[in-house]
Amino acid sequence: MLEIKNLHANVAGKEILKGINLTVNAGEVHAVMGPNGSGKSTLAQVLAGHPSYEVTEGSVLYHGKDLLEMAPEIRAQEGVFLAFQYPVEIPGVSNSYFLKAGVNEIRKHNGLEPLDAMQFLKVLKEKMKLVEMDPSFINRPVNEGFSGGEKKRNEILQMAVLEPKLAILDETDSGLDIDALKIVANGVNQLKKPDNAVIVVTHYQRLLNYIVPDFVHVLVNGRIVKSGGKELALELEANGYDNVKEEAESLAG
Amino acid sequence: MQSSQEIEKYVSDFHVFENNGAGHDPAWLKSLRLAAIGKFTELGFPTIKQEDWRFTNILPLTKTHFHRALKRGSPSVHLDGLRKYIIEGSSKSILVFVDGHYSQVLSNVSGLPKELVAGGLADAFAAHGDIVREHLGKHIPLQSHPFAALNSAFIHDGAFVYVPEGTITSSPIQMLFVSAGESDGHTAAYPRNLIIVEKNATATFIESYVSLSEDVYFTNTVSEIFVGKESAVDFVKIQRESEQAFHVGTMQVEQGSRSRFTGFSLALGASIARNDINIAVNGEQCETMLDGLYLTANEQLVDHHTFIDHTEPNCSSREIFKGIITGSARSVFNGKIFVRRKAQKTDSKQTNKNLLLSDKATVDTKPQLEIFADDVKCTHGATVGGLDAASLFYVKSRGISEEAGRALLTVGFAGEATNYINDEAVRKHVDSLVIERLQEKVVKTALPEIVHSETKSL
Repeated sequence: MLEIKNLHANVAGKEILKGINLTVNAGEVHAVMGPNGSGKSTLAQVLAGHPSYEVTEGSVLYHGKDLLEMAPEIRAQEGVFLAFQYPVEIPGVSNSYFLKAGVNEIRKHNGLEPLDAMQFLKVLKEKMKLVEMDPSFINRPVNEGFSGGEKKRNEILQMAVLEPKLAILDETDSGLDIDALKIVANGVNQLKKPDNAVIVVTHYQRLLNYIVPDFVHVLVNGRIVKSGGKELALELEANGYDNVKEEAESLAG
Repeated sequence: MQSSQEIEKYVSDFHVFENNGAGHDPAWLKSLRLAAIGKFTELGFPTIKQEDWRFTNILPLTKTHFHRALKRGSPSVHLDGLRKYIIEGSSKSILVFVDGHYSQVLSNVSGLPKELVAGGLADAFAAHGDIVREHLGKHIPLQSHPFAALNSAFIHDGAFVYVPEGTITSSPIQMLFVSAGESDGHTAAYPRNLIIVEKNATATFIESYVSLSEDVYFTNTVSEIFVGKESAVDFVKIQRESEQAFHVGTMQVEQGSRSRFTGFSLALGASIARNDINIAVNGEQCETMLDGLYLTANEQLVDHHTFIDHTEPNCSSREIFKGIITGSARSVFNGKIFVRRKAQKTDSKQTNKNLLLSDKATVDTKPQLEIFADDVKCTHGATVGGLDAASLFYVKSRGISEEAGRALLTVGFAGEATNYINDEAVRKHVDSLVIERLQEKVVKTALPEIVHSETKSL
């Protein structure tokens, strides 16, 4: 589904990603872990097409197509979804209008008829139950006045409604208490299907207790220095990132 | 620069007015007018050499002479044509004025409390002479407002609303000023509005300026609003004049102790529009909210000059003006907050945010704080720029196109301002005007209804 080869990316002239290689197949859950400043969030943003990042080298194929050539909205229409670490507030625009606009653009791109207001509302209400969101959120402005946890839950709601093929969760666990974390994880797990894949970007292991990864990758200083199964996350939790950092440095040296 | 010939035309207009239409008015009113025309003659029309008019060149206005619009003999305006301008909930609390003249036929005040007085100012000189005389022109500094001086010279009609002590009004009181279009060349309307809210009363007012034509005309309006002790007044001005017209408005507010004034100015219309809003906070523990939204397109120029004068201690004020400027349009915001020596513990915030949507659009913004007290909390700031890139990326990452995304964020920008209108029906009316305007001038894609959050943040 996703094939990242030797990906290099800069922000404001500074190289953050220094040659990432990663392959994700349908049905898989990958965790990308790493210390602060390692480039985890940059990788997530680059995949979603954030204009502040400049790809200088490498390629990303998504379902065989060149992902880097696509505008952010086309990536979304093709099934890529990024759950933001810091979701943006859009005052004046209701959650439901925003999501309906997104759903229907995606449907149009894929040759489907748009959902009418009734059909959409039915879908929305169903998905809101999944993330245990109060129906009053339907007509509230997007993320405005939401608590940190509500914003993250809203991201997962958007994911549930947009039904992406490749979902990237960027530090979705940060700022969540344990109950909210469980709700969010439960939402993600229920959306897992054989034909979609999830990349979980996180600093801590705790989210991975609830969203169990098939593969764990450790990102240090813009490179994946170690990959393994779910047990790698536990190892990192126990020993911290220092060991892998040292390993990475000795390899580089 | 200053054409005395132009001034002379207004002075001779004044003499015609004084000799014909206004001859039998009370002596005190005549002398008020006479003093005002004297002041106007002395000051003349402002020029860009004056600090308060530096960014607003009114030459297109002054080079044309606008003679005072007369009251039309036959009804040229029908209620059916006005319905779309009337706010839901105000159909039985509406005062209608055609070219500045009160129309009893088009007005309906049957929904207002019996003890409340609402009608035309021309009728109030006789019926409520003492109250009018006590308040009219009492606080307007004509010296610094030549257009208010010109308006004062032509005081004849406008809205008169008197809300007695303890009155609570539930329906918003709308004052609808209609320009009926050219009947005999370029005309000027001089509405003069006097709103007196006595102690411990509550009322919401809407002052709307609309046009039934795309003609060239001039509205020079003055509204005086007296907010009594412990009263709460909401006041929304909606300016949607013809895009060929000129609009100059002066709003003078005086607040008594422990009162609350919530003002909002929506400016959509006119070729050149200038709003001077002066609020004298003359009592302790007052709350003052003054917000606004201007949306200018094509060659329009909209100028807001606001002045909040804190003279007493323990008061708070908040001011947020937002602007969307597109085409070759210009906007000016000059917000002055004055905190006098006695006004300790003043808590004041002022913000002006401008969204520039074209390369040719310009904004001049000047937030100003002048503080003479030492124990106060005051902040101010201004921004000018395009849409937020991070927000646009977020929207696009959900599959929404660049164009639709820009439209959504523009709606959001406007909605943040209208969120400060308290009355739901009024807010809805304003929101729909904003959407209609954006659709007409700014964006081509479908736009959503504006929704509002419960929380109102700075």
